[in-house]
Amino acid sequence: MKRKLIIRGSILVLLIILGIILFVVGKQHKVLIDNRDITIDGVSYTAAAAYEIWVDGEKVGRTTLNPGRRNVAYVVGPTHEIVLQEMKGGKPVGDSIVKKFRLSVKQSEVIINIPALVAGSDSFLYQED
Amino acid sequence: MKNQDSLKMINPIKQFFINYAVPILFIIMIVIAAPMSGLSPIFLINEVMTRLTRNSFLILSLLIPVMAGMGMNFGIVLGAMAGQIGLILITDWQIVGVPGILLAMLISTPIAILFGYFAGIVLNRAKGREMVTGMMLGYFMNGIYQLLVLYGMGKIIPIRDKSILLSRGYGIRNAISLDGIRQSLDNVIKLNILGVQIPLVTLGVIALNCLFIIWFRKTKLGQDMRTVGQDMEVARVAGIDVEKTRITSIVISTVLAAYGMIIYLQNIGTINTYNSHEQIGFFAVAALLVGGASVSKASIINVFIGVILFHTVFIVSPRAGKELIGSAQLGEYFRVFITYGVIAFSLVLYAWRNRIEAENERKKAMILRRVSLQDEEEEGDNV
Repeated sequence: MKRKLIIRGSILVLLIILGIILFVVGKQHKVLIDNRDITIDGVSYTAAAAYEIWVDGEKVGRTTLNPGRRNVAYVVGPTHEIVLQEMKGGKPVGDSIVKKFRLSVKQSEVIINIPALVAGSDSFLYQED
Repeated sequence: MKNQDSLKMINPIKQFFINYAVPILFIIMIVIAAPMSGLSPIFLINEVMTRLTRNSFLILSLLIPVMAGMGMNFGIVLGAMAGQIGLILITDWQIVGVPGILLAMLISTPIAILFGYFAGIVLNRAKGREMVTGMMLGYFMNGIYQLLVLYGMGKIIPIRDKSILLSRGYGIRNAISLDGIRQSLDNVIKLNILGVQIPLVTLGVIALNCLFIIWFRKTKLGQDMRTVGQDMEVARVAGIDVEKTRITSIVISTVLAAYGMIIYLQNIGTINTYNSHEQIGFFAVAALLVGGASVSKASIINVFIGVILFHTVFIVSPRAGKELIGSAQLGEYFRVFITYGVIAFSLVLYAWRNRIEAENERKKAMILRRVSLQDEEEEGDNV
């Protein structure tokens, strides 16, 4: 009887753990990508260049993201990668910038600020109040 | 001797037509309607493949209660509701793709077990009238489901996604888009053979369910269910807990129906919150009956024949109706007419077949009696 109870309890715990894993792995996040001016902790970052953007290998938008514009990407799971390529006159300029970021299950909608990311700020990713 | 020959030859052709009247009728309908519809064979095969992967799992959930002698389980509607609750929750939590489907299945499992247990207890109190009781139970539980979804969700159960809530702030909208999981399972591995799309993973899941049913039949519980299905009193005398076995069969069927509904809806890509589950029971039962199953006997083969025949008629009938009468609306009328008609026809046929079989048994007994009397007379003459 006790053995049966332990087995059933273990199965229940395993199923709950499986549920949590599925929740984390399958969670979809809305990522708004801003190429806009921003001030974070008193430091101002100015949007000056246009970028082509890839999130998790998928291109965001059909055209380049010009200064002052916003685009959106939907990502699934906790770990992601964003790749930026500065564009000028339809041609790439310089090396591409690669940045990895993590999202928690509570972050359903986040904003990535491109000028802050390019400048190397750790606060490039934030949630709107 | 002549009498013994006649005993062996009791109308085998008639017997065949009686046993397979519904599938034969559907084959005739397809043979007539398919050329009239003007649909290309590739289109038709693609559509049948889509419906085969969409519906098979759900219909397979009907087999276990038939094994336990409980007839067609119209109570699969309860499982469908459990599946839909799982889907509504993962839509709110924005869990997408295959993990979303698996999580919906995980959430729906305890709900389906609870519903199935309740249904099993009710059906045990209505032995011999399981089908109509199951149907009524579906309507009753629909009320509770609607109460939960229309008033509970958003008020008691927190729903954060405003897009699935009614404008008043609680209650789920009439239709929910399942964009996040639409055809996620079907698209994992999709083969294209001569223009026919074959969703391998979904077919694999259906195959697993078939293997589970085959394995389950051989287990102790499966054997107990068959014994209960054949004769409850004999099973009881043999020491089988008849009531518990019947409840278990309904619980398994309800859980499988919940999974089946999730597979069904991920293929369609939209939940009709208050209607999707309602017709599921009728369509699944009708398809199984079209496949040559009866209230007391159903197999995996019946499921696949049923889905192919039933849905081929569904696909070709609107176009054939339009060509024949000039009205596309005839198709929808035809669908409902066929579904309910098939169920009614099959049930009548089942009752008639039982009567014929009883009559045949009586004839057999009479012939055997006559043969034994003749033998006795011949022996008497010899002496």
